[in-house]
Amino acid sequence: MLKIVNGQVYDPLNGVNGEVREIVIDHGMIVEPSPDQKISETINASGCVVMPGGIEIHSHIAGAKVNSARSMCPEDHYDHFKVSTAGIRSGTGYTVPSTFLTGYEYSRLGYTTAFEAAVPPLEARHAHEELEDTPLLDSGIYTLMGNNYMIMKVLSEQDEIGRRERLRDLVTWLLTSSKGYAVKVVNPGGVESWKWSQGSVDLDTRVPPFGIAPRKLLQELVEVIRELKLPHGLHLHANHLGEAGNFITTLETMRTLEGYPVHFTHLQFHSYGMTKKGGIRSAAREIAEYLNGHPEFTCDIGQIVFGPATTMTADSPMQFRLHQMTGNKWINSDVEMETGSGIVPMMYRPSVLFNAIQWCIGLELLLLIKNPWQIVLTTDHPNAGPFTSYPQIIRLLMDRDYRNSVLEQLHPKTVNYTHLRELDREYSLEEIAIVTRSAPARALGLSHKGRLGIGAEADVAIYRIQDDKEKMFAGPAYVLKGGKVVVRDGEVLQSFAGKRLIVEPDGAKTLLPDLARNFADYYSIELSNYAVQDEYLSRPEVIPCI
Amino acid sequence: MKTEITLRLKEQPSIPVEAESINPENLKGKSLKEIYHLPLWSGNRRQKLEDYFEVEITESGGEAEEAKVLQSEDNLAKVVLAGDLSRFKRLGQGMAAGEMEIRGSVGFHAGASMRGGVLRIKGNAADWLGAHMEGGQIMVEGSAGHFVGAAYRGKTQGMSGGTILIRGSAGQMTGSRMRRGLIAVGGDCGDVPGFKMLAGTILISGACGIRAGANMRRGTIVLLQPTRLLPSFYYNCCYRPVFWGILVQELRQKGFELPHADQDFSFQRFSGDANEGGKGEILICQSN
Repeated sequence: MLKIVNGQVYDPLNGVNGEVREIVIDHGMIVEPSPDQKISETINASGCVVMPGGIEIHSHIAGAKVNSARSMCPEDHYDHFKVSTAGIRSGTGYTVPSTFLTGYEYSRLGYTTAFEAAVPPLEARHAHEELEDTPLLDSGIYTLMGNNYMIMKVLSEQDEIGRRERLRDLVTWLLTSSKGYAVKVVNPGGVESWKWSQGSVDLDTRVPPFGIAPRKLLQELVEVIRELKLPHGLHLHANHLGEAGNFITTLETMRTLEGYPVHFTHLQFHSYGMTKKGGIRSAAREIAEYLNGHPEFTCDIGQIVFGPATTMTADSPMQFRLHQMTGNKWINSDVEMETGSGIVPMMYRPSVLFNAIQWCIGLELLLLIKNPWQIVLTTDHPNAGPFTSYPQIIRLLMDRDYRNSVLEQLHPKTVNYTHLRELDREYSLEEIAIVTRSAPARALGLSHKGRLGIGAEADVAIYRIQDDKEKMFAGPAYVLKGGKVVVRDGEVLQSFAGKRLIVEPDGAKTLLPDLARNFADYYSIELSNYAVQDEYLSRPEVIPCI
Repeated sequence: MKTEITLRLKEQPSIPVEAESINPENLKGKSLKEIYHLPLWSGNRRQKLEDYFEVEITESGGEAEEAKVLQSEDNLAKVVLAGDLSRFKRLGQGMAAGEMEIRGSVGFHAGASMRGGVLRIKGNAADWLGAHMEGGQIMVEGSAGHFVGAAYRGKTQGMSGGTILIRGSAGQMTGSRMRRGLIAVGGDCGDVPGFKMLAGTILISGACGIRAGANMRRGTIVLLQPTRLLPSFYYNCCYRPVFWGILVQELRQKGFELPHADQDFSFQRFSGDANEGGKGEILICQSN
């Protein structure tokens, strides 16, 4: 048994806000303290805050596109490498670290769970293989369905009841054969439309080949997700990412899905107004105002971090635009009947007005959305910046003077298009604990994570209290994973595989017969080779659909 | 009084040695013993300089010091390496001052990221000579490999200053993504010199390979022999550029004679690469 004493505990899900409490851990779980326990190890956390392990709700850390980005960007590796030590492997990469290094780096920030945000079912095996080699993290993948041929085919059927049932079976089959955790939609219809050489889509644009409008696709998918009682709602990357004036589409999408559990991801990229000349301005107020009235929705930010980034997404038309705009190198991939994908390395600069406005919009959303339970801190790693920058963002949220001092250094016209300077709010430690741990745990339906109550998993991060919050959150004094001390004073001590979180919704376990014929005709592989076999997951944990 | 440190190769290593620790600044103020103990990586083994070299410290033009310790602050010793060092990589990498002379051939990355000082190579140089160089001068008596003054894989800017003078020939992708500085090749040059060049000057005296200046944004490539250009380069005029005379004089001062070069040459000027805006230029000598 292990005991943590004298620490100021932050456990927002249980209403504990900085009180000094003892935490006793046995067999990887937090247990009730009692006098007759045999304590083998005691951690003195005086002068420290004790929080649940961090939970990453949206990050690109494993799979085909991540690996392509690694081989595409040797410049990301030259100056960023880690030499192996006893039991700890070496690794390279700054914006796209290699698998083991990804696990260690998350761990060194106090994060213990992470979800890979976009995996086409066809590439799921690759993602799971990489996650097996991403240690110290419980992980899962979101399965892409927003531009899937079979989904759109089923949606084009006339018989409403039959259609709903068939869609439920298809979603179940896609989720279970990819061993996914949630349904991810990226630019619904937009990628498929681009593949047919058509323009970008709005919610009511009819997308070839079946003439399905994105609005209908979203409405039917959220209905099915509710029926299947999936622990995480629809994980949505809306249309028109990064375009001036896209907040109108974002708001319209939100209105369409009102009442359903939906997670709007990297919302910063979807909160742009348009200036008279066609540039972007902040529409964070409009978006935040709407979300403040709709507690059923959650979001994460995708906060810009100045410096290098590697954009990678299934939104291939967006990546093509970015490549044309920046002239930077580009990879594009057509994932058969399922989706597309693109990669473009980027550099975000404070002197570039567009980037400076983006930076402000992310922070404005974090400060204007009143309920911290609705919002999760992310950088959409590595799209807006590497996850290793979280401590810096935490400082920006907790320290208004620091925030304003950075704001001073941005392009001088930034203030004309943003409201950040008017915002005085500073996050408290409790709010930080919510947006990095408890809120994502709740949004993901993980009842045993993001908390420190009795019965919770013993994933714990202990940070020494310091005035500089960036330093404080960059080097935890201790990190515990499953009750074992894995990080001490910023050094990784041991490495082992985490669990893989999956769902088993109540629906068909095989592909519908008529779709199986389509599969045989058009896929490049056999149906029998498609599903990820159980052997690929060494420690699966099924999260119940209730 | 000038101190000279001579490193004589004792035996050829069987696999390449990473020798970035050998440069004038790193040897400054070190005793003979300290120099012998400098680390050299060979494969995954950390070895010492004494495993490969015999070192001698000599004073010229003054009385010999009692202890052979180099104390002088500003006056860096001249470093001389003798032997076939083609298996020694990164010689003079990152050096910022002083003089280093190699009496033999060198391996990859010689003078890479160099910031100042002079590196003389009496034999041949391998690939990546002066890659990402920022300042100083490299002089090669023999020939150089590929990627002279180029950018490493994935980097957008290569050499950003300094001078690389090669008496013999150079390999492919010479000056690729170069940002500033001068590369002069006395002999022939391989394919695609000045690929994606951003600025700076490349002078090629001998025959030039195909696709000179492909994707170049700005900068100047001077060719003394006629060659076939890419269709994305278009003819402007024939003229006598003023800078040519100055360049020839400067090269002469640095001990780099161009055979049959005349200060009064006239050149055909071509703009390109049109795919990248056409602000670069290729000058082809008309008078030869």
